[in-house]
Amino acid sequence: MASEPIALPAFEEFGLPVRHRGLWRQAFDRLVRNRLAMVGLAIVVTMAVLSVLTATVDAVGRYEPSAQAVREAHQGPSAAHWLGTDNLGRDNWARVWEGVRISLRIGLGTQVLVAFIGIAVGAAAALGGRFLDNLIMRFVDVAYAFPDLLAIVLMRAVLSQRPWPIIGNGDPQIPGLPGTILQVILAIGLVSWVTTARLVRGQMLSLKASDFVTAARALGASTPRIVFVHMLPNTLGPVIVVLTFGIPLAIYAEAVLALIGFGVEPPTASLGTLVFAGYSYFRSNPWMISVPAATIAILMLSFTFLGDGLRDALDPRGRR
Amino acid sequence: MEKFNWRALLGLFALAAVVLAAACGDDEEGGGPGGEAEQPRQGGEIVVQYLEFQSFDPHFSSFAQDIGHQTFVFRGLYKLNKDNEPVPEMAADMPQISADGKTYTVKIKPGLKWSDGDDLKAEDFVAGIERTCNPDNAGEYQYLLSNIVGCDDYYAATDKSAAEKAALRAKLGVRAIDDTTIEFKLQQPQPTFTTILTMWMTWPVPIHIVPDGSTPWPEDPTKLAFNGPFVVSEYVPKERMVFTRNPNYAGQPAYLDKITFRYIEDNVQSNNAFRAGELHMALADATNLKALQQEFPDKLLSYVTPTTIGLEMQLKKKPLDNLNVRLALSRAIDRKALAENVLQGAVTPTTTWVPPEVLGLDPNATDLFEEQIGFNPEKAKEALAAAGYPNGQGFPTLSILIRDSAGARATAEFLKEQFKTILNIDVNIEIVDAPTRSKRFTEGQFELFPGGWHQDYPDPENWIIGLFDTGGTLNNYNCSDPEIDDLISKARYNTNDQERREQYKKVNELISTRICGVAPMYHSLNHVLIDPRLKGVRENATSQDRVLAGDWAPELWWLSE
Amino acid sequence: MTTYLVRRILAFVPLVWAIATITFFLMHAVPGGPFDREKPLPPQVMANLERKYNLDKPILVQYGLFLRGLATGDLGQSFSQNRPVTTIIRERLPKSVQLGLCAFSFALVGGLALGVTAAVRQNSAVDYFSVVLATIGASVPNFVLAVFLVLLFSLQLGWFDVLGWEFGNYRKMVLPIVSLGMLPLALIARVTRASMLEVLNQDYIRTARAKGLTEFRVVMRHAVRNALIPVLTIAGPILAGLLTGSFIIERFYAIGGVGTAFVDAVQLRDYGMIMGTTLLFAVAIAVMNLVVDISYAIVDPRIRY
Repeated sequence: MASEPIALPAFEEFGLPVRHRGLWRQAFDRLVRNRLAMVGLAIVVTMAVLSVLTATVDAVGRYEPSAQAVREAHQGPSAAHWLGTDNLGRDNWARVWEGVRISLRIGLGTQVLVAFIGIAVGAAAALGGRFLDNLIMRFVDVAYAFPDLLAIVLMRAVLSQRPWPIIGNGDPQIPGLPGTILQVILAIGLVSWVTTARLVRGQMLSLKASDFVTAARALGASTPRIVFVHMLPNTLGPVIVVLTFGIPLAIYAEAVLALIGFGVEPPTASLGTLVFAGYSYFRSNPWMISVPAATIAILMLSFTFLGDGLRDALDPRGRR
Repeated sequence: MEKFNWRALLGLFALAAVVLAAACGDDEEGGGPGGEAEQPRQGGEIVVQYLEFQSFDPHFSSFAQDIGHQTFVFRGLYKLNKDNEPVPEMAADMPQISADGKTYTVKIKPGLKWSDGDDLKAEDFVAGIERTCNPDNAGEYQYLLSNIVGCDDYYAATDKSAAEKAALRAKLGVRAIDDTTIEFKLQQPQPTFTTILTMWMTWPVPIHIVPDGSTPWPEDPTKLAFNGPFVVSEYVPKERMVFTRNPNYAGQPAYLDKITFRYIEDNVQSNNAFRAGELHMALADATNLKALQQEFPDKLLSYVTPTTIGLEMQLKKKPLDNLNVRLALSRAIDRKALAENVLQGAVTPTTTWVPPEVLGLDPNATDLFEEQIGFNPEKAKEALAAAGYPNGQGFPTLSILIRDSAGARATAEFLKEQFKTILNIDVNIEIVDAPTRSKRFTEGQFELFPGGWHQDYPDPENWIIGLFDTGGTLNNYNCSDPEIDDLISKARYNTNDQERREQYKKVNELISTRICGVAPMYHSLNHVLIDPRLKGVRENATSQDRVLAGDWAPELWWLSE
Repeated sequence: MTTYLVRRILAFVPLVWAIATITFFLMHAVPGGPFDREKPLPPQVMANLERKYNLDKPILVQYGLFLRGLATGDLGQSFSQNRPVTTIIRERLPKSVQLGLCAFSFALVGGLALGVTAAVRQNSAVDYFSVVLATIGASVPNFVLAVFLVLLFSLQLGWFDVLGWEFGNYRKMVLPIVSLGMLPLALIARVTRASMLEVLNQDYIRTARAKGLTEFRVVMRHAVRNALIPVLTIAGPILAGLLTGSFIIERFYAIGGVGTAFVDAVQLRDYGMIMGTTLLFAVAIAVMNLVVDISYAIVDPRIRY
């Protein structure tokens, strides 16, 4: 603690930390003023909280998502089952919240993976010298030309059906993240990092040439310090925007995987598997498909609003 | 037609089958309100849903949809009639059987022609048998011909030289005595051989187009010559096949001018197309059966098809080698709830492996072994305790291997929950895709496996030989029981039909009550949506149907005004 | 411009090689083989089949043989259909291309019209309608949209067919096009509206108005042309996505295009078909990107190659 007042003034001379904090502050203010983004955020937070509550508080969850009562199958909404029951008499309310939980996990998990790979690859290309940059960018070009959905399907097929630890088909080894969910996250994440990597590289290249980095270097800051303290935070804005837009795409990709038979393992419900299951019954029991379908739409919409707001707030140049 | 573990979402259920006969069996007979039967009308075109074939070669195929296609355009010496009895088709008469029962002589009708005008001769039929036994073609139903002298030796000659193969082919016990006479030599007298001669793997080859057994079948089916009621006149892969009448067909000429198969894998979609009037016949979406019964009371046809689906168990894996464990699992399955609630009444719950009607019993007697293996939570718990796992303690986690489909998921999820609530044991559901599932099954790499058998020909032996004898080619669950082996070897070539059937009945009892590899759960029903103007379909729906109702005799379909 | 074109086209070669290589090793890493089926094939037959398709050779030898075939345009046989991959693709491609291009035209025309009108009549009913449509279109997944379109327009109203695609028969075209094209339409409308609003505030538009040009001329001649550039940026990826992402819609309307061929091929381990469809799509994307870059030069005179 004692050393801090000594270190700080040197930077304040350049106004760096202040300017830095100020930018985030301004961005935050812009975001809060964006009504649609706030609605999106509110919906996302509400749904996340509800999905956790339904899993932990019996009064909210009401039923085990996998508990069957086959003689009460295909019921419409009632006081006992707010959103009706499915083909095995399971409660749609409990099922759809489990679906939200799984789909959010997949959406967020994918973007965490994308952030790691994207930032690492992008930074390596920008800072690793011309040879490495060339090598990485050629690879990125190839990955960019690879059809996304096809690559995800192929990757999912490669990862599936193996006795691997952690992501294998056996007992879940990370609580709440059984192998098939991790396989879905990996398949989507390993394909979707390309945009982020390109973005980070571009940002870092321009930052490298910027005045304040040159100044920090002149003051003798170490390279890791420059990268982590000065450059990384300044690339984060656009990255956060891309990641936010990536969440609904990942949720959509998961649903597509579920539709062609590469979804998560039953009886776990994701929104995709719920839509797939409901599709078979969409005339006789429309609740089975309508509820998860509407939930996907609302979730995707909220993330899009939030993404728009974040873009306007964090990346003023990206505004049109 | 094949091990009934098929392809898809549709797999378990598309071809499915049970009896709602009570609901819609009676009001479908006869004509309209007038009551007088209409006379069949010549002409008309229809579009029906079908599943695309994998191979068009009858001497290779094993899939129901392949054989369904082939039945439209090829025919054999005999054909099973509506009552499952063999009657002459290309043959002029029933076979002459020698006194020792080992030589069959068959005369074919005079003046037979292929659809392209070439003569259809005895050699074409001989070539068909040769092709199925040919190791290079590797027919998947060769084992049904293994009683023909030399067929097994020839089939096993995969790695031999061409000359050796030719020598083995020459030794085959089938030859053309003249242009219209064929002779078969058998190793043992076989009571079911005439029935075998109705089946696709014995059908003729147009040797003017496919000269020998090693030549692949033409890629484009329109390039073939046909001897059945229809010819293939157009084929668009993944989309449709168009059949038109074969003027050279030896039997009664087909009524319809044109039948189009529209390839649709998704029954939800095909049912919508049926609703919109785009199809004359479609496979009913069995997962939605109850709603369909209300929507189409007079268009939905449901009837028994000889299929048994059970929970297959790998007897080599502990603790499934313990009879008490198998009994516990079997008794924990509420078959009635599975059939009525989970599978929407699309199937009939059962406790017998061989369907009762195949054993000559009342078709409704599916509760034959209810006492021993049927649903009974108390006895299930007792059996598990007797096996050394009181209240499920110490029981290892087993896995149920399924492919991804709505029906398979629902079944597996139901079983998982039943085992948990009744036996307090955990099972995993392992989802793999179709090729992996098949591979794992045939290699015996599974623990619990929902699957079963669909009848190839109406005889109890078809349900048992190769499936439950020690070392049998289809015995993937490793059933090995000296008593069963002994009875099978006695019954197999027993020419006393009465005694033979009693022996198979006893084998079925042993298989079912000892759960020698499979705990029977239900018999399937076939559910088909039929446009009321399309006639000759309901009337000819039998256990021989391949995919659609009455598709073993499409020449009898007709369209009323 | 010519040099540029030649250079870009030459760059396809290493790209195709790289994608083929990645796909080759990925698909061979998928567990299971193409000849695993319900009824076991006799070991000898399996051996013969594997010999026939070179599957018994070491993976690197297979790779070499594959590259040799690729260089001569031979993608090999489809195991599941026992026919050349190129034949199958040639049969299936027209339907996917027709569907993709129709959906793209629908999205482009609809999106531009909606976006331009909304910007010109900002805060009018048209504007609100376009915003609502763009929002819904962007958030309802296409497979959900397809279910409800069929329910409403085929089963309730009987306007269109359930089973898809016959070029020239509107009953079999409208629903697949709308299901596939709605999302891109929404995106294009959104981008067009935003970019038009920005352009309409520019000085040269004010100048044009001041010159006394009619509003229609101002909008069409000056504003739209400039507002098109951001639309073009997203048009390339959109078209590529329509061509490669149509497999859900193809499945849904029982259209036997290349998209379904890919999904089936993955499930059946049909190596030749997986490779063929992936390369086809990759080349399509590369060509699309090139077309976009060229059209920049046409629309925006400031860009020169």
